[in-house]
Formats: sequence, C-alpha cells, structure tokens
Amino acid sequence: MSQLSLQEIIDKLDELKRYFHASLENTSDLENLKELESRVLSKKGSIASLNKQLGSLDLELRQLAGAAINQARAEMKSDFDDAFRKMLSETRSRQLELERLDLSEIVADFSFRAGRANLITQTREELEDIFIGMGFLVEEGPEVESDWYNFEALNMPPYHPARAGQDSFYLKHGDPESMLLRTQTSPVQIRVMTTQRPPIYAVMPGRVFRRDTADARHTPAFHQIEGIVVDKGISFANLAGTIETFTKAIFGTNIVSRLRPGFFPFTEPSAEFEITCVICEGAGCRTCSNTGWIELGGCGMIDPNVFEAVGLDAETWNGFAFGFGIDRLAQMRYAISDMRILLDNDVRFLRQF
Amino acid sequence: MKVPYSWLCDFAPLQSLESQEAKSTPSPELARLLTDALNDLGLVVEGVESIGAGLDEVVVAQVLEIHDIDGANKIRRIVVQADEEKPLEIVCGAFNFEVGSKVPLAKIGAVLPGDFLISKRKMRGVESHGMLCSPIELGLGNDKSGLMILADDLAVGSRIADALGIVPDLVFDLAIENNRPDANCVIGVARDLAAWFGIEFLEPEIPVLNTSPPESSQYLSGVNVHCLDECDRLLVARYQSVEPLPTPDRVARRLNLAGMRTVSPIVDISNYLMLELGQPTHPYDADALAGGTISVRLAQKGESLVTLDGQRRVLGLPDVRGRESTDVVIVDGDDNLVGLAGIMGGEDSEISPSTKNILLELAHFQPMAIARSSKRLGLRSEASARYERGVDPSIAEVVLARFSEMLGQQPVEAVVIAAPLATDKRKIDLRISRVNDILGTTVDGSDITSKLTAIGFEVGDSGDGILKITVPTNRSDVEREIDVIEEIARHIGYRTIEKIRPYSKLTGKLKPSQRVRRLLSSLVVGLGFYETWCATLLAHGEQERFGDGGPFLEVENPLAQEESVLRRSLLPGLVRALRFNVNRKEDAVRLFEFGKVFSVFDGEITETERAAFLLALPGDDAISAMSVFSKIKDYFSLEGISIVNRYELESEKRSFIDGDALRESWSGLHPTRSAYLISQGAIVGQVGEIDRSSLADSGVELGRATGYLELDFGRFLKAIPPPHMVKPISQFPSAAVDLAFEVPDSISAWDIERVLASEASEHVMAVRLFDVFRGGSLKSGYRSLAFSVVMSAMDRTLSEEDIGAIRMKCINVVETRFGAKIRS
Repeated sequence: MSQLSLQEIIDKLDELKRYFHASLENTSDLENLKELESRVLSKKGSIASLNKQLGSLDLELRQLAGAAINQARAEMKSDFDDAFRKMLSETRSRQLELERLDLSEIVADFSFRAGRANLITQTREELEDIFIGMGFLVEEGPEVESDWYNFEALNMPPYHPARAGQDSFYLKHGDPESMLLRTQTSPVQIRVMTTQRPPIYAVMPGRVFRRDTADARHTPAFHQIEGIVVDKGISFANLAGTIETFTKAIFGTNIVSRLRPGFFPFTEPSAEFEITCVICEGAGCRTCSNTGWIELGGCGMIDPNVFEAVGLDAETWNGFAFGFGIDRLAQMRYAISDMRILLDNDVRFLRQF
Repeated sequence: MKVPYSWLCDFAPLQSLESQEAKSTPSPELARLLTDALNDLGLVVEGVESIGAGLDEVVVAQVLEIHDIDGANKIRRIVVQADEEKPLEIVCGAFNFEVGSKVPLAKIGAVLPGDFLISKRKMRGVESHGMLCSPIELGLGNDKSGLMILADDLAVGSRIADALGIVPDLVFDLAIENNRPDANCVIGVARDLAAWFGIEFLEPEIPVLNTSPPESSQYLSGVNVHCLDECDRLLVARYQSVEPLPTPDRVARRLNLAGMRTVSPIVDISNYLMLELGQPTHPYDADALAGGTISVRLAQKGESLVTLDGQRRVLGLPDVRGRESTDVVIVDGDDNLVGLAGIMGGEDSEISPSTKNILLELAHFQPMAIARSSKRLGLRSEASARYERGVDPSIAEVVLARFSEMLGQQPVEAVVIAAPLATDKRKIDLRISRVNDILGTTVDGSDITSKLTAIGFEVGDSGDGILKITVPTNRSDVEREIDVIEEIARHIGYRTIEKIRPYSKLTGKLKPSQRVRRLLSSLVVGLGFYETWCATLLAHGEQERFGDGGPFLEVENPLAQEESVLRRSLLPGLVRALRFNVNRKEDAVRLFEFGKVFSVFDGEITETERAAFLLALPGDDAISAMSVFSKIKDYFSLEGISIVNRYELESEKRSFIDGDALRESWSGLHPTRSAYLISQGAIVGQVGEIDRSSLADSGVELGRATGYLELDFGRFLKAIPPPHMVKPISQFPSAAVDLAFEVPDSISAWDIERVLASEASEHVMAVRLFDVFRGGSLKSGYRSLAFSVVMSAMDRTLSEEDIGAIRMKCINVVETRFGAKIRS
C-alpha cells in the first residue's frame, strides 16, 4: 500500500466527504443508505482504509491526520444518522398512509351481531337481583299444577268466589278439574313451605296462565313474581317495609308505595299495593287515571288456614306474601301500549331492550 | 257497584264534610275526599261520575232562525232566544232540529263536564255566542248524534237543571271485594264511611212487624222449607189487592244512577231495596201460584224450569267434579217449580200490571249452594252475586218494613221459618297482643273498641288483654281472630302503619341451575341469539307436523283451537316466531328460548325445562348449530357427551334412545342431518337442520337451511363437571402432530376425538378436528378425518423420540378401537 502525505490524506478526506454528502442527498431508500454507510463508515469502509495508510507518517503528523480522520468520520456519521432518521420517518409515514383504515366503515355482519335476552327475562333478573340483595332465595315450581296446590291449599276451595277471577285452563288428565296450568305463582309458596323449614325468605318468578281473551293489557300467559317471608316476629309493618324497599330499588327513590285493603283468600289482612305513578311521579296523568298512583300487585299476611295446610304453626310463625306481574311492570316502565307484542317475538321489538 | 252520593247521605251525613268554601255541593273537593276514603277502606273506586255538574250556565233556548254559512256545509248560523233580551247568534254543527225547537244552550263562561270552557269563538267569519249541546256534552246521556231536544213545555231561559229537575250528584263505581258481603249495598258503604270519618251513622229502625209461624196463618200455611241447610231463613209476606203508585222520581233517578232500568213499580221497589239494604226479594203473582203459597226445597235430578230470561234450565245435576247438586228451588202449593232460588225467578209466576195479590219472598240462602248452582248453570244475577257473598240474615224484617212503606200498604200476613241459630251472632276472642304482633302496631283495647263498634261490632273488655268480640250478622266473612284484626287494620288505615324492613336471616343467592341459565343465556346472546317467549299452548296437529306423534297433554277448555295442546318441544313455538319474523322480512335471525315442555307417560305428567336455539342467518345450517353446541360445550367444559347421528338409529342399536325419543319429543329435524347428544345413557339434546318440509308446512319458506339445537336443561346441568382443583400447566413447550385417518361413516368424529384425548397418552393435551373430506382415493362409505394432536410433558421438552412414540400410541388406539386406518 502506498504511503500518503498528510496533505494527500486531507485532500482525500475532503473528497470523501463531498462524495458522501452528495450520495446522502441522492439516495432515496433505506437500503441504499445503509449500503452507503457501510461503504464509507464501516470497519471495512473508505475511512477505515484511509486510517490504515497513516503508518509512515511522523508521530506528530499521524496524530494530526488521525484527528482529522476522526473528526470527518464523526461529522459524516452524524450527518448519516440525521439522514437515516429522516428517511425512516418518511418511509413509515408513507407506509402508514398506505395502511390507513376508516373505522367507521363497518359493513353490517350479521354473524357478529349480538342478540338480546328477552325483555321479560331482563326484568325478571333485575327483580331477582334486588331480592337477592335483600336476603331472599329464588325458588321455582311447575307450570302444571294440581288443584290442591293452585287453589285448595291457598284457602280457595271449589266455588270460592275468588276463583271466578282466575279462570283456569284445566287439563284432560285424571279427575275433571284436578290438574291445571297454574293461574298464579302462589302454589310455589305452598311447595316451598311444605319442603323447607322457616325462616323462609324467597321469591318465586314464573309463567302463569289465565283463561282470558288477549287484549292490550292481558295475555292468556304472563309472568308473575311472588315473594314470601316466614319467620318469627314478622308483621304487616315488615310487609309494608319490604314493598317500599323493593319498589324504591326498581323505580328510584322518588317513588313511594302505599297499601290499601284488598282481598286474597291466602292472606289476611290482605292488601293491594300501589306506587307513585312512574310516568307523572304523582302529578296525575292518563296512565294513572289522574290519581297519581298505579296498582302494582297484591300482598298480605299469610292466612292461618294456609299455615295449617302446609303444617306450620300459625302461633309460632308469622309471614307475609306478595306478588305482581313482571310483564306489567315492564309494560309500565317502557310504556308498551299493547302486551300482545310480547307474544310475537318480533326481533324489531326484542332488539330495543 | 254504582253508589250515588245522595243515597249514601240517607245513612251518613256526608254533606257535613263539605268545606265552608265549597261553591256547590257535592264539590270536587268532597268527591276527592270520599274517593280517597273509599279506596283506603278497600272499596275500590273504579270511577266517579259527576251528575249535573257544570250546568250552571246552561239554559233552555228556542230556535228562532236557521241560516246557512257561505262556503260551509257542516255548520250553520242559528239564532236562538234564551234568557237575555236579545236573541243570540250561535254556530252549530248539528242538524236534528228546526225553527221552534227547544234546545240547551251553554252560555259564554259555562264550564261543561270535562272542564270544557265555553268562550266566544269565530268560525267562518261568524261569531258564536255559546254552544248548543248534545246530551253527552252535558253529561246527561250518551247520545252524541245531535242536539238534546227538550220538551216544548219548558220555559225559555230557565236553567236546564231546574227545568229537567236534575239534582247534582256523584256516582261512585265501586269494586267490592269478595270478603265484604256487607258492602254490596248502599247502607254498608255508608256505615264504613261514617266510621272512617267519625260521623253519625243513621241506622234504619227495626220495625215492629207481626210475623207468625205458618201453621197459624190464613193464607200462608203452606209455606215450608225442606232444606234448612241451604235456606236457613225464609220470610214470606202477602199483600192483598195492591194498587202501587207509579215509581217516584227520586227512586227512578237513583235506580238509573245505580245502573238499573225502571221496570214496574213493584220490581222497582224490590231492586231499590236490594241496592239499598243488600237483601234480594222476589215478588210473585200470588194468584199464579197454586195454593197461593211457596216452599223451598232441593231440586230433583233432571227437573227443569224456564227462568225469567226465557231459558230452560235443567236442575239437580251433579257438577263437573261429580259432586251432588245443591240446586235450591222455589215451588208452589202443587210442587210446581216457580223459581231458581237466589238466582232467578220463573216465567210463569212473574208479576204483571194485572197482578192483584203479591207474595213476597225474602230468603237467606247458603252462599256455597248458590255459588255452585250459579257456576254450573252459567247464570249470574244481581241476586245470586249477593247471595254468593253472603246476605245479612237479620235484615229481612227491615226490608219487609221498607217494602211495605214504599208500596204504601201493609202485608195482610207475614210468616217466618228459620233454622235454629240462623241469626245468631258469632263470638270471637281477640288478643290485643296478637293484633299488635300481626300488624306491628301499638294499639290498645280502647283504640280497638272504638274502631270496631263504629262498624257494628260489639266489644267486651274485661282488662285481661282479651277482648270479647261479637260480630254483626252482616259480616259472615268475619269468622276468626285474624279476620277481626283485618277490620282493625282497615279502620286504623293501612297507610298509618309504619314501614319496617325485616332483616333476613338468610343469604340471598341464585341456585347453581339459575346461575347456569343466566350464563348460557349470555353466551348465546353473544353468539347473536334473541330470546323469545313462545306459547306453551299449541294447535292440534302442530307437533305432529314436526313428526312428533308422542303422548301430549290437552287443555279441557281451550279458548281457541290454536291453543289447546301443551307443547312437548320448543321447536313448534320457535318456528312460529321464525315465521312471524320471516313474514316481516326479518329472516336473518337467531332465536332461543328457555321453557317448560310437557309429556305424559304411564299416566304421569312430566314437566321438563329445555333450552332451544334456532339458527336462520344466511349460511346457518346443521353444522352451525353443532358449532354453537361446541362453544357451549367448551364454555361449560361439558363432560361425557357423545353424539349419535340420527340416521344410524334407523337400524338397531341403543334402544334406550328410541324409548326416550318416543316419550319425549326429539323430532322435527332432517333425518340424515341431525344427531342426538347423549349423556349418561339419556338424550341431553338434539342438533341438526330443521326438516324443510316441516318448515314449509308451517308456512316458512326460506330457501336455505335452518339449524337447530335443543337441550334438556336438567341433563345439561348434570353434564357440567363439578369444580376441580387447578391442573398444573407445563413449563415446557408443547408439540403438535397432525394425524389423518380413513374412518367408516358409521364412526362419529367425536368418538375418535374423545378417545385420542383421553386414552392414547397422558401427554395428549388437546385434540382438534381440522379437516374432513370424502371421495378421491377413499373407499365409498369412508371419509378422511384429520386431527391436530397437541402434546406436552410436565417435566421436560418432548424429544423427537417421545413425540414419535406418542404418535404411534395415538394411531394404534384409533386403528384398533374403530377399524380406522392412518393415512400416510
């Protein structure tokens, strides 16, 4: 290898820098850029080979030349880094532009559309959860019942006038009028009280059937939720407190409940419970016939005859029961004008909830 | 029951509750006060009608001129003379009058019923100075077809209320509960209100009446009661040569307000007293009765009678439950049937304008006897409704006295037959402590005494905490201590009882099955399913359409043909729901339902909960349904479920499935594109494609496949494994090998998957079917099933040798168990 003078080295360096800068300007992609770096600045590149040609120089000159080379290398490296970063950023921008998506362009894909739980199920589960929070269990019972569970044990013997309000679908099975589709969830009370020992705190949701022609407010099948409490020291005041607690939980704290005398054969005293009209909050409107109140359900202290039928001592245990329509609650809350829509299973309706 | 306010005032001075500021009486404020009180007493107010309100500025006007209005053909300009000097011009849309007609005019400023203010209006450029009214606009009737045309003799300009003799009144429409026999009459409602407000109750005086036993009577010696159990009291009176006066206006008005027509003077009195005092009476034409007398007895089997409504009623028959009849009948002296006791009289002895002598029956019947006859015959009347609930056995004498007073004539004779103790008053011991225990109150003996005596109870208080209660005879419903407690609560006011939330000694939570139901529902909602609520009752033949010929339960008394059979499967209901949506172009749906199904076997009714899933998105089919089940299976880590393609069953094996499938309904699916899901020897579900011919028969033509999955929810729950200890996860990487087998069509891919996963080697962690194909070089009746087998070890990375050995074990177990062959 030929030996160069200091001046020659400096000239070569200048030439190399010019070449390097010109190349930086002209290179348009990352690969070529990296290749340029490798050609000039790497350990096998032009700068390194210049360095190797310093051996013949005096120590002093060698130091001077070495410093010049190092400075040039540092300058070039810094310029390269700047150029590389800039090009990297431009390249990424170009790539990102190419990959751009408009996330509002969602073409409906039916197979990924979520369904819905039924409005009645949603309402029932909300009620169940409220009562669970109040320390109640959720019990269920059969839809086909015997006359005994549905009526007789509930203090409604045959020809009891209260039966007139609960026209039943009787089944062609066994003795005439011995089996029927339950007209109320109350028979579950009897099943719970005959199989469990107090204390009992339970709600019993389910489907019930009445032989009534369907209209805007009635369907022959609908859903009720029944509740019972059997314990020592339970009073009518506790019943009123329970009604108040869950109605506030469902409808909000602006709503109050009130009881007025009613009649159910399986409770005594019996009551109807009403709540502040949820539409007008008591001011009076069409929904509540300008009374400010809407009737929600029935309740009362469990009749001693019922305790007798299930084999509990009415002197030891007190209890109350209440019940109301789940469908009707949903109807009220969502202002559903005609209950029959529930039977259609119209997805345009179902998907609204 | 409709109860006029004015009538109530006969027995309770309710007008004394009117506030000093009230401009007219009864005022709206009083109406409000009474409505609230009635509701609080449990006499539910279903409506309040205000009579004669808003008529202050309504006068009698006479039509002077009638003119057309240019460009209008629905209204005319009418000139009327009313109570002012000058005639008035009125724009009117009615046409049913002429010049000279007298009509009501609501003057400017009148506020008609419904808060309708009459003001000066201009129509088609003509100013109207009031409104000519129809009956409905004045609250005087339901006619809205034209103006109310008034009688010619009414004075022009007079107030309409004066001219027509209208007395302002309120009519409360009350719903009386079954346990309030006392409240089915005006006096009963008045008594409750008087007690509530603490005002005087004007009890009718019990008259001195000469009654005698039949044997010593001249006309009525034949009167007898042969069934004292069903009729424990009978009072019969005879009126001679009656000449009734026309029904007085006041009586007629009250009958009308109470919703009854006036019929004839005597029937009107009978009805009036029933409404007022609650005791039905029956007047007979005494001369149409053999012997001029009546008796009461049980009907003989098959006897018949034509009742007042013209229907022939066959009596004495057992009821639907086979119980003996307790039909009670009234017979004359020759034992001819003349009435169906307590329900309706017979045609032949009905009184008429020519009736001279009247026999009046006032009876007390047992509620249950009347209820049974009324229900069996499907015949209800005002009288039977009252008897069913219980009539006061002591009121008959009062009613008879009132009858005579209103008739203006005393009976020539009256006889009474009564069972011993028929009017005895019930005695009940009431513990004051029990009252407070039940109600959560702190009332004492004197509180209770004042509340109860106000409604006719007698209370003896000896200071030992036990009150001796005597129940009035009009409260047959009050039999026990608890019934008295209800009366106390009612008159204390339910609303005054404090609301105290009880403290539950239990911890509220869902049962495992209820939790799973919610989880399963959420899972499939996430898979695009909408939850339906399908009818439990189906049409005859609807299940057969889906190939289900199994035993079903039937409704004895359906409302409609389409709702007469209890469903055995959820499939027909979901198909109905699908049809509804398809018909509305919402055919891309997935639907599901949780519901009960019913079956009968060996006389036993089985009620089972099922969960069913119908898939009708474009592209959905049997495989999609199976894929949904796979997700369910995966999510719940179901164990021990195998799949049996339905077409394999045609031949022979697994008779239990045939048994289950017959007893339970597992049908309606495409025979060669469906399968049973089997768990623990029973069908846990079925999956596949709904048979298109069944769908077409049901009116659903989608032109594509519809997938279906139905699960027996109880058996599904049993397939969910109990919680287990955590399985350690290997720290070492796993390896996967792919194995393709040539497998006969009769072998289920699931079975191979299960065997590979559980029997080949402890190192197999997961098995997944990833490819299926038929044809090519494969023999007919065989297909290729390719599985990806993931393997790992707890203590090391599996070596090539390890993997090879496990692979061989996998191949061996499948080849030997299933007669399959590995494909190279």
